[in-house]
Amino acid sequence: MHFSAPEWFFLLPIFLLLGLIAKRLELWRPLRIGIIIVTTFLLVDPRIQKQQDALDLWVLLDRSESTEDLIDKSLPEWKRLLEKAKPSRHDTLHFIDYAAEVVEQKPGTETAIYTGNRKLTRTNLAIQNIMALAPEERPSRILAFTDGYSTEPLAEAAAKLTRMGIPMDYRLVREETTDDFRVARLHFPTRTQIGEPFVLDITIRGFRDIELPLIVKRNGQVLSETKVQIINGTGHAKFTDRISRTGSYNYSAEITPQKDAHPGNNQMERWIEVVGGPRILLVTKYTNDPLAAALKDQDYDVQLVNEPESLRVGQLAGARSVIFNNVPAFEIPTAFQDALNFYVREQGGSFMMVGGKQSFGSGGYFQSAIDNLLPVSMELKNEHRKLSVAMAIVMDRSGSMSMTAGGGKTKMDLANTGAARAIELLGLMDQVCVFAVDSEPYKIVPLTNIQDKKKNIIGKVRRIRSQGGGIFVYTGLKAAWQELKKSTAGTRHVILFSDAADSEEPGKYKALIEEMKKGGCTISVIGLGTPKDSDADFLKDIAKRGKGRCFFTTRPAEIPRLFAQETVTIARSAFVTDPVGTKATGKWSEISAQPFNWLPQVDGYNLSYARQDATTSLVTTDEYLAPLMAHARRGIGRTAAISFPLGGEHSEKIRTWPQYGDFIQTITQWLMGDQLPPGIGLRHKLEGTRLNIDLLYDTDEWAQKFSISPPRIKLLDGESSGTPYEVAWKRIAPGRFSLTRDLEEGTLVRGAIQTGEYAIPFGPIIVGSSTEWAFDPDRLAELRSVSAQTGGRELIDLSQAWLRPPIIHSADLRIPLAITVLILILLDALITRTGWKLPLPSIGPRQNSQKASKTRTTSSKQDHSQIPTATETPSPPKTTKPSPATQPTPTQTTEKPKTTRSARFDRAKRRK
Amino acid sequence: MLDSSASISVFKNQITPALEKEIPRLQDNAANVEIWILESDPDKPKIYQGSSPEDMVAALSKWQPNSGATEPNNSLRIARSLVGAEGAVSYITDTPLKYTLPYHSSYISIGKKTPNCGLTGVTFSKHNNQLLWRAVIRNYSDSTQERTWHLETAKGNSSKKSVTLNPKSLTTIQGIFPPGQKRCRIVLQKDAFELDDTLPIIIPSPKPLLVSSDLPKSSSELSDRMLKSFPNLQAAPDNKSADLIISSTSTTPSSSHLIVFPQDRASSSPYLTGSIVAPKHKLTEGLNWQTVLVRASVSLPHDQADQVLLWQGNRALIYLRTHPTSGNQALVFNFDITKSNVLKQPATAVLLLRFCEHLRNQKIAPETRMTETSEPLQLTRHTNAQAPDLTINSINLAGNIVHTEQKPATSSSIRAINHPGFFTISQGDQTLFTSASYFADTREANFSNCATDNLPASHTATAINRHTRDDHLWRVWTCLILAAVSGAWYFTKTKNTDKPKITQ
Repeated sequence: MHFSAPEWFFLLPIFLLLGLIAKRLELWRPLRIGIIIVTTFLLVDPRIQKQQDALDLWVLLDRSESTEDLIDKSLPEWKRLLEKAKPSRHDTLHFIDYAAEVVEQKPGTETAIYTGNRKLTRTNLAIQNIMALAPEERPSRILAFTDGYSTEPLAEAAAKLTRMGIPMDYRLVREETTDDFRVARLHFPTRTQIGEPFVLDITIRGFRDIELPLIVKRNGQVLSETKVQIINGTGHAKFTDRISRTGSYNYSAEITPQKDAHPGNNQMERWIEVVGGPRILLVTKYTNDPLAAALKDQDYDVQLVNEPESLRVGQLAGARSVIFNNVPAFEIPTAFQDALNFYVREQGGSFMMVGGKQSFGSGGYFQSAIDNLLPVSMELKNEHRKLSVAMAIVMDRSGSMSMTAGGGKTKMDLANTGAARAIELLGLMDQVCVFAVDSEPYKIVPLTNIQDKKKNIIGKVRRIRSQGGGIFVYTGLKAAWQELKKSTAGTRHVILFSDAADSEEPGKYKALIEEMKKGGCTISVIGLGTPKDSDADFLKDIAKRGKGRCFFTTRPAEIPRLFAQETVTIARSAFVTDPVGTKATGKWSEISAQPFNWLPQVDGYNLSYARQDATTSLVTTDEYLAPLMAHARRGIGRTAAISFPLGGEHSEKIRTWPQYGDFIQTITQWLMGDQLPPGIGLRHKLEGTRLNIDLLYDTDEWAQKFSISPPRIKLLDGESSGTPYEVAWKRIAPGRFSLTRDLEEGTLVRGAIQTGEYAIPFGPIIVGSSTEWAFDPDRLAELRSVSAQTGGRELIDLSQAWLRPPIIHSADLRIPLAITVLILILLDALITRTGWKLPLPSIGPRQNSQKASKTRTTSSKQDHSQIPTATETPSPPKTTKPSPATQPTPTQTTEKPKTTRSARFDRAKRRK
Repeated sequence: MLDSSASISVFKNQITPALEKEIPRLQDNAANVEIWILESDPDKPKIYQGSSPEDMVAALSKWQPNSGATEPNNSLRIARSLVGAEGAVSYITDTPLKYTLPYHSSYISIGKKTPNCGLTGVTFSKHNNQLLWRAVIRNYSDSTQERTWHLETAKGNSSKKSVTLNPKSLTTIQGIFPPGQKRCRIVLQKDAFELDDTLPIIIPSPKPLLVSSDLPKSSSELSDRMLKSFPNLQAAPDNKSADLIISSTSTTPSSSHLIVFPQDRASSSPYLTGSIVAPKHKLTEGLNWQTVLVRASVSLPHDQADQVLLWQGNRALIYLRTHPTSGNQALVFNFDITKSNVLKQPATAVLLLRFCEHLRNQKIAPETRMTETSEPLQLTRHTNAQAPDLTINSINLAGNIVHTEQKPATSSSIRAINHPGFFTISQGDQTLFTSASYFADTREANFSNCATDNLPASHTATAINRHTRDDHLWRVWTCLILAAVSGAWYFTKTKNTDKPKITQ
């Protein structure tokens, strides 16, 4: 016990003194003494330390997919047991449902049933919620009913729970017989070096000992098909692999048991990053590309890609530069094109496009994801156009086009926007016709000279509505050709927009296309769907026979861009095939201090226009003064455009140019940028859905640089385009920054750490798509550890759930003391008013007192033996003559009150 | 959700007015509003929970932000989870955000451009056997700033010196660590952001790893090189007092840790062949062993409990052995290194350095070093059931205790103090750690991007409807209206429109 204001004890001596001086106060009376003492105690505010007598029990119910049924089955019984074991009405029971989200159960509301996402087990989030909900003044305890496999680490919760004094108990909820096999672990380094062997360690777990087939894949290609023997519930398979090329590689391990409770956890995938010296990713369709040879001669590590369709985002990892050498846009996967933006702007990579007939605008890069990266713009200006174009747009308006595509728009709306965009890009001298096709073609716009009718035509196109049925491709193409035949334009082209899964009635399309080809008409296809859809091959064949391009997209929002790209390729791009003179601008010095003896002429070039922020080193001497060599900065990366071919057709002069090699070396050197200074490194780790990134650096080397310009981290979710976002590092210690971020399941993340002009790229990192079924044993061990650290336990007997944590709180005694004082005062007043005496023994010699007591006892016994009956007249009790030994004390004390009372009565009578 | 970072302390007075404006707006017609005030650092406890604005203001007045820059996403997720889909989550910070916050959170920025100069860190060097400190002052603002600084010790203060700081520049100040003093403090003239205006300094003294060698003289060059080039290694007077013994014969680390380099007296044998593979282990992570050439010399068999760090074919080239009772470790090079090119491999030096650092970190011994405020500490201490608690004492320049805190020996979260100052951590009678802690997150000291901005949270109609109570007298009002109408009807007479007939 302690006192808040012990100085109030001074009242005791004061009252003692007062009692002595002012005797009329009668402070010696026991009640008054009590009043003074208790009042003094009240004023000093005594407090005692005592154990809390109430508990908030927070029951966490794991509602994730892996435990859902088990919880539902047992919950009523648990509730009953917990309610039964509740020690007092002061104790409260709260039920919290959690999986990917956390919801407190409130009976009678919609929260009584968990309706959230069940694909994750966010135990940490649930604990954090309880910590925010738990009142600080009351002791709390957590009881988690879970299978123990959280999909996020619990480490941070442990420290906070300990600090708040909240113990965490758990009860593991598992199926007794789980006929489940799973890939428990796929273990290998996150980073390795070129050619360095590493071990892939795969752990399989199962409920009985059998042999299971195992397939290991790298980047989707089967690496090994083998069998794993499960012994005592566990099977191991080890493989050694080495990769001779830098980049990020995806490994997956998959088992295929015949009978399995949870097929979701039969596969696991991870990425490994192979690091090495700087690498150039050269995408080309030339066989024996002279550019590749020149780069290799300069000892650059060149990764040659001759099949652009095979490009993967992971190949950007470890590459310092990407070069497209005359490769058309439609052959490059959209995801890869989209990824280039982040790669250059944020990851500090570089990109260069080299000219040719399938490059720049002619290659379909207008309004592509790469367009804004380039230092040149690609659409031909109207005044520079010399030939007119007649274009037919054949649009699918089948039933599937009425489906919504987000943003309140249907697929048909986006297709209309695409067609409108194409018409906008046509010149005044061009012609256009538009057909909407379902089971027959409808002529929306007959072949019309654009002139001043653009607005009118676009208005008609925008009003096309989906009518149902499928698209009859043959009739659509035939109708378009009938219109285009009427045109005398030099270029005649059809854009067929169709559903890749619903393109019907091929009819005699081969003969028709042959006829169109003979008539100088080409056909391109924009297919809504994927190249694997049922009618995709048919559409591809149309494009191939029609000498055009074929695009597939599953994102309706991309449709307008593809229309624009195709129109520019046909109508507003130009590859000038005549030799043209060159003129140096003197700005090459920004790339190299070494003056250059440029070749006087190039054999051909892609007509383009330098952007405002670009530096042009070489231009043509023709009327266009077009850039032949331009470069620019994009974010912290670099980009360059060489508008003339460096190989293949129209490159004879450049290939014989003596300084060809020097030129390639110098521009490549600039593209590669400066090496990252030493003393800095990155470490990343994925735990469930939580990504941890640590930036480690040598403080001697980097501390001062970072105090001027702290490192920044940029992330991009997903393979394709998106908006990169910056997140805040946490400064942990000298030489270490750290970032923890929760990701969505199945997310692919790429990122870069930017330190001034340098960048450290990382990723892709992928969050497994079946995290819930991973059953990571580390998480279970962590749950046990957190429970132990917080003073919790594994709870088998629910009647023990209400164990109050040893929280001692300071109890306030003022209220009981105040009540006591009040009672004492009332008692004192009562006694004073009535003159009642406390039945206390009178103060006298000890011996007499004992005698009196004895007498009373005897008398009492006698009274008891002579209880009067109702019929008897009451008579005074007989008393035995007291013996001297039992002689009571003199009777003055007993008679005096009578006297006093009668006197008071007399006085009252007299007053009357 | 309040930004936990220290920079917001400069604008702390703006938080309450911002909340007083925002909460009534969100409350609208709702009868009550439940408020949680959390910090963006998820490790920090909640600041307030309840429905009383007065209590909230009182709780806010006690709050002292001092963390470094913190990513708010984790805490926003918790906040959203607490308020449900219908509640409003608002993040209060000092710098306008360039991106949209997740979990449908809004933000209020209450900062403004504020000039600040601060100390960013300190380095030490020896000069004529004296310890020289060198501290960096940074001017974060766009204008030239004048500041004074001085050094404080337990015995007194140095004279104030003024320094002119150019815009966005770094200026280095230096001096001799006061002889005879254990602690001192550099104090810069105060400005709006005070955390970086003082920099406590203490003489660093890392814990040493005592090393002895029983290698034959022909091979002793290796241990000599380790002692010479690896930091914090000291030669032990004898094997008994050594933490680490470099040996060619012993392979059981019963009394101390071991590095084993076996010697093979046999004449040269052929090189080992087979793939060199390093399983994933933190001692070998990122090391390249592909150019290692090893002769098939004597082999020390390893058992199942040993962790193999490097394989060549089926032979374990390097493995790690842990003694089952003492917990000591032995790093065994399972070949004669003198008959290999291992000593020329950078990977070998890194592996040995990592192993020595690992052992040094595991050693329970006093250590003195500078720390950053709230830095998590890896403190090696006794953690058995009988181990005494840890005592964290904040001390002043004279070494007197100003604040004490106890933590269980098994505590998983031991951090440096959260404000610039000196502290010690003891277990029982042994002082394990002595430190001077300073604020080092320069991102927080830079107020050049701070501004006032507001993306208010939208209150959801359903939440407000749910919390809006009916007026319990509505029936009375209705009855009164009815009574009034009835009264009006009663007392208002209908005008008689029948015209009297005129008779002649």
